[in-house]
Amino acid sequence: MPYDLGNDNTGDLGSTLNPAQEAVFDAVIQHAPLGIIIINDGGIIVRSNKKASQILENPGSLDGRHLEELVQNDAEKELFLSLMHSPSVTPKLIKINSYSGNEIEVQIISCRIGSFICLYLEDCSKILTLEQELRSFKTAINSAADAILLFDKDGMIFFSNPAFEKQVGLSQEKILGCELQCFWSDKDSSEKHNEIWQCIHQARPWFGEMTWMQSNQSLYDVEVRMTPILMEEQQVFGFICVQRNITERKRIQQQLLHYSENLERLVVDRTKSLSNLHDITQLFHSTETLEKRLRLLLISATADEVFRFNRAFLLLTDKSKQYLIGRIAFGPSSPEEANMVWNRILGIPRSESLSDTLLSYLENAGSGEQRANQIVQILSVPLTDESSILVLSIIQKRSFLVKNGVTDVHFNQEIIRQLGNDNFAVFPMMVQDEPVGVLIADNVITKRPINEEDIQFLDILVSQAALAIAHADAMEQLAKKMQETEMAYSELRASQEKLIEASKFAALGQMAATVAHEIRTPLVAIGGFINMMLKKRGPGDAEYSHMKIVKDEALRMEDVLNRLLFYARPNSPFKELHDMNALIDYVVALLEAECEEYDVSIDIERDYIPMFPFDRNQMRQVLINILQNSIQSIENGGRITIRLCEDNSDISIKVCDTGIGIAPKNLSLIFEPFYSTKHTGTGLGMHVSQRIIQNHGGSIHVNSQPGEGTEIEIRLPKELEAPNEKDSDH
Amino acid sequence: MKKILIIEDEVNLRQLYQTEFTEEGYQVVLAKNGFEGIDLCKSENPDLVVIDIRMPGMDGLDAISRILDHDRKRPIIINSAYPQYQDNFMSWNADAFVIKSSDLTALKEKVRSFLPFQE
Repeated sequence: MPYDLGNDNTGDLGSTLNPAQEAVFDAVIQHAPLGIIIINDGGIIVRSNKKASQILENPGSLDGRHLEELVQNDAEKELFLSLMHSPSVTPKLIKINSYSGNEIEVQIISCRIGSFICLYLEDCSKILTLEQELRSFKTAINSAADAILLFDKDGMIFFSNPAFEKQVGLSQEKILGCELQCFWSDKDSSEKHNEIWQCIHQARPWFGEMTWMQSNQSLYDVEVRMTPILMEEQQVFGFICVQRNITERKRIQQQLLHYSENLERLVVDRTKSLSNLHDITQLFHSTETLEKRLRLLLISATADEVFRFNRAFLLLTDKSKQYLIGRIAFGPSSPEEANMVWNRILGIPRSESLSDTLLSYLENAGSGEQRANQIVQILSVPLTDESSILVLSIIQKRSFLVKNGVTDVHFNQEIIRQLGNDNFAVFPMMVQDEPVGVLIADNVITKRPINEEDIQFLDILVSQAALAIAHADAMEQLAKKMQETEMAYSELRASQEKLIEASKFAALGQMAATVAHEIRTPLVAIGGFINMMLKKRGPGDAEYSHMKIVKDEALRMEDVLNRLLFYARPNSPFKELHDMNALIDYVVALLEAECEEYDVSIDIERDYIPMFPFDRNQMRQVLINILQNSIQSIENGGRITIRLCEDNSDISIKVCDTGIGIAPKNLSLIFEPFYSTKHTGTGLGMHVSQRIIQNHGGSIHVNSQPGEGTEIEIRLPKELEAPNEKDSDH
Repeated sequence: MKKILIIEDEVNLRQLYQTEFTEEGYQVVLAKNGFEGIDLCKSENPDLVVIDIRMPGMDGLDAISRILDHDRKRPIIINSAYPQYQDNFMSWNADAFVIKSSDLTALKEKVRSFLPFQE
C-alpha cells in the first residue's frame, strides 16, 4: 500500500514534518533492517539510510544525488528508472555493479508514497550463496558411496541417502519414519545393540562393525559410524549414521586368513620336508657302502615318513658310461604284497628321529624277493638312445612327470610296458654333468597322483644321493685300487724277500766258494804229499796207517767242499726236451745199492707223459737228493712210491716214503741252507733242490707226519718259459 | 818223452805236480800264471797243458783262449777247485775237466788218456 506523505511534490520532505516528527522519521529510516532510498519525481534522492549505502557499497550519504548516479551503465539506469516510473511491491531481484565495482544482487521493492518513491533494498548475495552450498551438500550426500542416515534420539530415521536405499532395497518413503533397529540383524549380540543405544542416549559417537539386514532378509556386513549432531545450545538435533558395506572386504579377509593358514601349514610342511631332506642327506654321508646308499635312496623314496612313493627303481650308468643298467628296486608288485611289505615295515619299531627310522628300515627291510627287483633287472638302455625318457632326463638334466603315458616330450613307450604303469616320475642323477644314473618312482598301488611338490623334493634328494652314490662308488674303486696296491706291495715284498734271500745266499755262496777254494788248495797239498809219502812207505811201515788216516780225511774234506761248491751255485737250467720217465728209471737204478743197504723198495706209478723241457743234470741232482733223503729216513726197511703224472699245465712228481717223517717244527726249515739232521749231510741238498725247481719255474711242497712218512711233490711247467734267474757266475 | 805244461799259482801244488808227473815219466814245465803259461807254450811247445782257472793276473779261461790261438790241437785239461766248471768245460774249448784233489789218480789217468806211453 502506497504511503501518502503529503501532496508536496517539490521534494522538500522535511517541510511537511515538524522537528519532533522529523527526528522520529529519521530514526525509523536509519534503524530499519532494510536499505531505504526515497526519491522525488525528479529522481533526486531526498532521504536514504546507511544500510542502503552499505548494500550498494557506496561510501558516504546518498542524499541529494540522482538515482542514475548509483549505477554504472545504461542498462542499470534503465532498470532504476523503470522502478521509479512503475513502482512494484513485488520483490524484484536485480544484479548491478556496485560503486566499488563488485557485482551485487539486490532485491528491491518500490512504492509510491505521495509524490515520492520509496525503494527498499535487501542484499541477496549471502542467501544465494547459502542456497548454493545447501544444494552442493545435498548432491554430495546423495551421491556418496557410503550409506548415510539421519535419525533422532529415539532411533527414528528422518533422512536417508540413495546409497542406503539401494543397500536395503527400499524407497526413501518406506525408510523414513522407520526405526533404526528394523534393519539390525540377530547376528550381532544384544550386548552390542545395548552398547549402541547407550551411546545414542548419552549423545556419544559409536564406531564399529555390524551386520545389517536388507528388505529381502539377506544380511550384509557394515562398518558403522554414528555421530551425534549437536546444535549451538548443545541440544542433540539427531544422529548421523554413515555405514560402509564391508561384506566383500570381510570375504576377502576370510580368504586371506584361509590363505595365510594354508601358507603357514605349507611353511611348516616345507620346513619339515627340508629338515627331512637334511636328515637323509646326512644319513647318506654317514652310510658307508655304495649298496647301503642305494638302498637308502630307495627306502627314502618309498618310506611313509618321507615321499611315500609305492615303488622306486634305480638305474646306474655302467663303467664305460655307455649304458643305464637297472641296479636295484624297492616296492611291492601287488596290493597284497604292498600290505605284506608295509606290514613288515610297520612291524619295525619306529623311532622319534627320521634318521633312526630310516636306518631301522635299512637294516630290516628286505629286498630282492619283490617283483620290482625283477623289473629293474630288465631295465637297460644305451645312453645314446634319445627316444628313451630315461636318457632324455639325463640329456636335458631335468625330471619328467609322465601322466597317463604323456609328458612334454615324445618318448619310447616301452618303459610303460616294462613298469606296467603309465604314471611315473623320472629323476636324473648327475654329478658335475656326468650321468650317475636315473631314479624312477611311481604309485602303482595307491594310484595317488604325483604332485609337483613330490617332484621338487625328490629331485633335491636325488641330486644329493647322486653325489653320495658317486662318492661311495669312487671310494669303493679307491678301496679296490688300494687292495690291489696292497697286494702288489705284498707281492713286491715277497719277491724282495726272495731277492734278499737270493742275494744273501749268493753272498754266502760267494763266501763259501772262496773259503772252499782257499781250504782246498792246502788240502790238496796235504793229501798230495801224504800220498807221495805213502807210496814210499808201503803198508808194512809203522806210520802207514796213520798217514792213511790223514790222506782219507783230506779226501773226505775235499768231498765236503765239492758238494758245498757244487750245490751252492746251481747254474741256470739248460732246458731241453727230455724224458722224465727215463730219468726216474736212471736215478732209481743209480740208487739201487743204497736201497739194498737200507732195505727199501721203490715203486714207480706213472701215467704216460710226453717229453718236456728241463735240465736233465739238475733234475737228476734233485731226484737223487730227494730219494737219498727218503731212503735215509727209512729205518728197518720200508717203501718209497714215486708217482709221475700230468696235472693241467704241470708235470707232478710225488715221492712218498714210509720213513720217520719230519717234525712240524722242522718242516719249515728243510729248505733252509745248512739245515741237516744227518751226520754226513751239508744241509744244502733240499735248499739247492728247491732253487733248481724254482729256476725251472716250478714248485716243491713237503707234507709229513712224524712216524708215518713224508710226501714231497715237485711240480714243473710243461711249457718252455723264460728262465727266472740268470746265474752268470763262472 | 812227452812234455806237459802245468799252470798253477800255488807253489806247493806246483811242487807236488812236478814230483808226481816226473815220476810218471813226463817232462814237466811249470808256469805260475797265465802270462807265463802262454810264453812257455810258445817257447817249450808242450804236448799237453794242465791249467788252473782261478789265478791272479790272467785267469785260466783267458789263458786257454790265447794258448788255443797258438795251437788248436794241443790238449788242455782244466784242473780247478770249482766243480761247476765240470758241466760246461767244453764251452771253453777245454778237452777235459778234473777236479782238484789230493788224490791225483784221476788227473794222471786223464793225462795218460791224451798222452799214451811211448817207450
